[in-house]
Amino acid sequence: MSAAEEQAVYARLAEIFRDVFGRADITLHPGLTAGDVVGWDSFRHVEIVLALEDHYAIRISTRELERVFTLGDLVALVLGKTASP
Amino acid sequence: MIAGSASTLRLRGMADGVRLPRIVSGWVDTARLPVSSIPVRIEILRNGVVIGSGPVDRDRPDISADPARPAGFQLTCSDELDDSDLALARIAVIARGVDGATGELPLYGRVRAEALDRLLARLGRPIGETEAHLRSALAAGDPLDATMAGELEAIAASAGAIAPDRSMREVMMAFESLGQDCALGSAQRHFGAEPLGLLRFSGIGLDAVRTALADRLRGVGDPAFTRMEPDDRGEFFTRDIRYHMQAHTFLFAANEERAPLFARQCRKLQYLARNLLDVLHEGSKIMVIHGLPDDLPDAGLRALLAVLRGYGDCPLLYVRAARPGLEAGEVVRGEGLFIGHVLVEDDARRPSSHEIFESWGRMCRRVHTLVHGALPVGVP
Repeated sequence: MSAAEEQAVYARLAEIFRDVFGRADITLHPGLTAGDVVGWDSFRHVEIVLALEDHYAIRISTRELERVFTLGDLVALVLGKTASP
Repeated sequence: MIAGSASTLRLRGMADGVRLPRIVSGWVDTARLPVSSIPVRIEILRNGVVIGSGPVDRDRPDISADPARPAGFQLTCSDELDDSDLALARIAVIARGVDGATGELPLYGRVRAEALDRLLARLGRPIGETEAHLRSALAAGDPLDATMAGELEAIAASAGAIAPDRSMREVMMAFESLGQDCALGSAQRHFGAEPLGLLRFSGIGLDAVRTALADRLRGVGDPAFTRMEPDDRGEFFTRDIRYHMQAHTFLFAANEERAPLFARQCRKLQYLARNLLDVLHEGSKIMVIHGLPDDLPDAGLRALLAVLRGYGDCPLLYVRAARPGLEAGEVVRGEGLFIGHVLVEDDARRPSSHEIFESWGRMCRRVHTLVHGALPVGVP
């Protein structure tokens, strides 16, 4: 995967975070965790995942999410599902 | 255990935030308390000595939306706390109502787990290391930092204690609730495990869940079959009108616009239903049903097991109250299922929330071993 692809996922996530949390001041970085963002609970987590599923036409399972601890993990998961064969 | 109160009411809540070295925050479920218990105060003790106290006076809209019943607290301790205080559970957080009602608030499992990780990292030892490894390291004369050796010895000596480590979190993540109520979900939270699950924080009876699963959860999350109403403290609950499945949203009417929230909640239910079906087909989780405090009927359990077998081979754990000859934490094999035993509030010993959760942890470890063989690294 290229750095540009990774950047594109972060850019998309920035839009999703604005929609989900109603805030534009959250700085996204690979180490960001749910504990760092007020209101990032399981409900919002599912909303973020559903937005990613819709945008990238992918499926993300709850089992896969159990191995996601940081935003970087989530980005890697998305990139793994969207990578060209 | 807390003793000596005029009221028999037990206060519930959690200390879910610690900012070292002095700040402890959390919540008390004031929404359902009688007015006679409010205001509630908090005491923080280390080794039995009070090092902080103050009122429950902060907004926690996720717990109570009523400004007359604030649910949150944030206290500054007079003494500094460190990671070993958290990892070894040396601090106790006590809530006291004005009428004498009391309760010990457990420390959020993730706070303890992260403190242990930091403690181990300072020693240059692997994350996930637990009491058994520490015990053997100490027995082998492994040179440890002199000041930390005592702390680690205390972990090793805490007989029966479950190490608050990532591995215990992994054990608890392996279980999936089939409803009834939030008992499993709360025990998972105690150990820092927060899996997403359709029925984790749902109320649904044995017959209804069997019917829903037999129907392949068809239509769960369909707006036509879903209702969303606030309860008497303002939290929205969703309800499936066919299966009488009620679920927390942890969102409050005072803070949310109803129509868009309903649409989002329906999508969430659809997503979680889809994933529960996948879990059942894959057999990737240990499904849990409980009869607490009263046992479930054998016929109902057999019928549920038959429906589950229509999906695949997922193990089923039936949880019931400990009883003479079957102590809390013990597991026996039944016909096609495991039967585990835990402490319950009604027990004559009046166990604390911490003791109840720990009994869930011991039971889940045993079932995990029976299903998967060796436990994850670090679990004794």
